[in-house]
Amino acid sequence: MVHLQNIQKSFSGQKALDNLTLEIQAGEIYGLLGANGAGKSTTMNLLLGFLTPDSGTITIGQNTKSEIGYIPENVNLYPYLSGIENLDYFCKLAGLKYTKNELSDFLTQCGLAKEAHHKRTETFSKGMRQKVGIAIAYAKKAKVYLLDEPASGLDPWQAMNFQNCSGN
Amino acid sequence: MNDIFINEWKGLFRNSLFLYLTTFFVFSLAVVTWLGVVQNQKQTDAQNEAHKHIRAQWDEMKPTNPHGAAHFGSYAFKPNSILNSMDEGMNDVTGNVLRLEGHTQNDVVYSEASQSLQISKFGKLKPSLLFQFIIPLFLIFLSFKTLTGEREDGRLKLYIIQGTSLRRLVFAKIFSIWTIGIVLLLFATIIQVIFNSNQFNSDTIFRLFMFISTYVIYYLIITSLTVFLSIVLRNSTASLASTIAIWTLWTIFLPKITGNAVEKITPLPTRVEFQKAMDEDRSKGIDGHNPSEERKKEMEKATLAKYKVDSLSQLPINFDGLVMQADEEYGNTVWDKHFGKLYDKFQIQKRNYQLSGFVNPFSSLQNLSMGAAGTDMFHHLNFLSQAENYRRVFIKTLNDMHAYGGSKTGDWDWKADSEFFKSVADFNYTSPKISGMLNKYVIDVISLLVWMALLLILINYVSKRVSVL
Repeated sequence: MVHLQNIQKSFSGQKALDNLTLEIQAGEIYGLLGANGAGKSTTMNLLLGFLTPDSGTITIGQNTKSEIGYIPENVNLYPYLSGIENLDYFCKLAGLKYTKNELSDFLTQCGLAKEAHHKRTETFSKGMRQKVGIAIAYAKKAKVYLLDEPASGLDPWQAMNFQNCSGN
Repeated sequence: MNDIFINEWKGLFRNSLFLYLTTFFVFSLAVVTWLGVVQNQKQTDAQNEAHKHIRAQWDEMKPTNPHGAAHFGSYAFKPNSILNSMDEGMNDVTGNVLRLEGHTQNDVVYSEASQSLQISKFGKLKPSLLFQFIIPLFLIFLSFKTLTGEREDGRLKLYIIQGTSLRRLVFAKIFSIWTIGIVLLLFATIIQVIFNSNQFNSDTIFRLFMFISTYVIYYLIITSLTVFLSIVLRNSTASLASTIAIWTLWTIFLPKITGNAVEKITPLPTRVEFQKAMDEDRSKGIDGHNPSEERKKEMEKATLAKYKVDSLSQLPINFDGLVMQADEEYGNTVWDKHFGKLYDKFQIQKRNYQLSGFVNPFSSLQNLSMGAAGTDMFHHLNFLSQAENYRRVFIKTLNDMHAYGGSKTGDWDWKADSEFFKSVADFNYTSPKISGMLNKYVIDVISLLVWMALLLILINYVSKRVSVL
């Protein structure tokens, strides 16, 4: 499903990735761990297509953006939109049109309490925003989900909650 | 694209600060436009009143010597166009009343008293001030974070992953902010139309269309420039600072620098120099009161021969009238020569200023705005030219009466009857149709279109290449 072959990437002569080869199969959950500067973010940005490797090849499914769902470290939603409006908006950007009920179901499945669906996200905690972020990725029905430190900054309870709903 | 457009508008209209500011702004715009219309109407009424008064003076004139009436003179009033309330242009400084009399071609020096505020440094709050300065500033503040903001908030990655191209995002945002400017512009225009609907004709509609189109293009330029800087610069502060710096350059420094430069390239004579040169040329000719003997003698000889008489006293006409008209005509050729040269210089200066539009689109905006409102130099020169043509006919009518009305040479006490003065026609200014003047604004139109195309092409180019990170 995800295939990285001999990836090299340097920034101003400084090697960030040196000959990285990686194979992730469908259904597999794969974590990148490492110290600061180890190249985790570079790998993530290469997978997302925001960086191009100096050499090597990257293949994700059929190599289309529609196959990737992405949850950033900080899900910054539009504060003036409600949870459901944010989800609807980002779904529309991906060419997906869902009914209000379907959108609501996505949010519920991702652990966002029903009464929060129609509240503006400016009142949301980080954990609630992350849940909407998961719902955006989930609603896309992507084949590959790339999560960039999605639990950072969350308290242990929220992190566990997040883990549960992302696992679902 | 529609979704992004709608989302941007939602964002603005759900922002209470934006709503308060917009409400205040719309209110100000409505008041200023309405006040402009009222002021315009007041000026028009005052002019009509003065015009009636002058007419009444001529209608009620007691039997008078025609030459005395020529010195009494008349006035030409430059009527305000309807769109004068949108952009007063040069009218602030040129004045709108011209005294017409024999022997002399006067300048337009009589400014309306209410314009005296211009003498102070405060200036008046006019729709053009809002259109040219405040709305663009508003658009800058709305768009400077277009891309840097999305990048700083981390949403840019989400957009790209959701399948939106940077190009689509950028253009949707440009159009959404641009339309805010258009809405404000249309709002002021609607107020204008409501208050002046009975005075609209095809020319006014065409002028209004030109006026709106100019601002619509300029707002696209200012929004595109801000968004372009938001794309190429890495943070919102740099983007805002750069845009404000360019805007200040465009609106404050470059117009003054260009103004000084065109003056240096094509200098105008001082009033004293100009008058001296005119007087010198004039003194070579025949003067009604101090005739140049040589020329007068030639004229006398020709007139005596024409009427087959031996002396001026035998002439069936008043030779003094002929002399005065000949002097007038000589004065006209002197005026044509000197003012012709001066007007040519004005036109060269104007053209050079227009060319600066390729560096500073703000000057093109101002030129087109004043042109559409009928308050620019071209319209002013047109008024002066029509007023001078009328003055010539007016003075010739009086001189002809003096010459052929039944008096004898040397009879300065002879009086024409009141009916004659009633029959002297008024000056009626015919405002030129904008369709006939479009060629004068080609440089400005091209400059704005070049700026617009250039910025859109640049944005299209950089949005395909700029890093999302």
